Amino acid sequence: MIRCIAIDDEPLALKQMAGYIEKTPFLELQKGFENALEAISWLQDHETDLMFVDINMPGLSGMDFVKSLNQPPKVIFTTAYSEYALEGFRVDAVDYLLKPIGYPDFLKAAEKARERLGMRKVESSQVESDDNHLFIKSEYKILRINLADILYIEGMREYVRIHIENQKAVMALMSMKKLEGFLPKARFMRVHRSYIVSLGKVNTIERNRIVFDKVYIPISDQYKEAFQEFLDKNFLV
Amino acid sequence: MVSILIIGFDTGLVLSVKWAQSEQNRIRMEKESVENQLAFLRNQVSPHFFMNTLNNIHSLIDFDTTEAKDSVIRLSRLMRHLLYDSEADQIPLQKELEFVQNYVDLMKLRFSNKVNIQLEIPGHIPDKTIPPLLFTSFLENAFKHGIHIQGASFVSIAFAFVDEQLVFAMKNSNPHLQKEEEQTGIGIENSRKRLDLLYGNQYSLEINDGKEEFLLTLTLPL
Repeated sequence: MIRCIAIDDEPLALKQMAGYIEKTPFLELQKGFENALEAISWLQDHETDLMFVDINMPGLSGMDFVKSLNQPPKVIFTTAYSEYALEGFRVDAVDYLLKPIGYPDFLKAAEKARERLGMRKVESSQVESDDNHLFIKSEYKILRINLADILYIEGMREYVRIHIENQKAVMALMSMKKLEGFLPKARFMRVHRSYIVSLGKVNTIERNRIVFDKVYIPISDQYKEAFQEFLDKNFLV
Repeated sequence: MVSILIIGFDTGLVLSVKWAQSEQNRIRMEKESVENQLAFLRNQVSPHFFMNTLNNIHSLIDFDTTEAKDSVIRLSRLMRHLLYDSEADQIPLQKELEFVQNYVDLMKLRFSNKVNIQLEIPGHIPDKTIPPLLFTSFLENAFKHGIHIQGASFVSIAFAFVDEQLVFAMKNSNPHLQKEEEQTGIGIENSRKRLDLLYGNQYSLEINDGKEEFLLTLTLPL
């Protein structure tokens, strides 16, 4: 695991960054800081591998903060202002993320940091299943997931995120295709390159999208026919 | 003799035409520079404010969709005010105060609860007009320079209407952040210039840059 801290003076930005770190399988959030001074004193008796640092902070800027460290850990800078980009690379930053930051860009930067840290690529997760469960074994943990609780599965670069009812989503390194092979075909259906849905959880369809609470899942042309067949059998209209 | 007179008259005419032209040019340039200055002064909401607000809304979408939607509405109203409404020389006071409310509400997204932000607008607003965006640079200043890096801070803003006058009173913590000290002066100097152009000696702007608190009171005739 890569140990991380995040520094941003704006609480919402910090919360988002912390959320991104927590949902990334190979990152571990040690602490978030609302200013660089607190981070400096924390670093005096803690070690970290990677820091996500906002550049534009009042008082001590992110750039000055990194320059002030003797042996700085790897750094990924974040900023809302592109004019800082060049300076960011001058202090040998791993990457530089322009806000607002989407998760795919965050993940790409985190993977770059992992390479720079000389950590081997995270091994693909193992997957097994029985009639009612999915077992996911990664480097760090083994998980048992009730098939009945799965809402949908989202593909994201080489990862999958399994969204579970009333629980935090689970992320694992494996392909959608591989995971699909372990799911009973009668209960799960691929509706898009990046989505598999649990048919028993499909309750609302709106203009060709499946609605899960606040998430809209698109149905792509390739899968439209199969999904329509399911609708014809299961929805009385 | 006559011809000398004619030549003299002719030269005088050419000279006076030239003089009139250059005088016209001078007046035109002066007018342009005042207009440029006004345009510049109006353009006071910094690009950083927009970038930060968009970023905070992006984050809110994950955590609080209702607040995210409300913020998009506030931002769109604020932008409408800046892009269209404020083109006019005078706008309804009500509109300008709504703009201030939206600005302050969006600013709140940026700070934790260590920063106490208050805005008081009277329930009854006089049916008057006002030049647009008179308060923006003061507000920007308060949020830029009035927030401690660590520890509690506050920004209190209040409007009052007394005897055909508008009183804008602002009070904020004063951490004296070193590097940015000089810029405070420039922002306020520009605002003073604009107020001079608009109101001559009919307004008052009092500033008290204290050790703990920064106080500002602006009084305008309505």
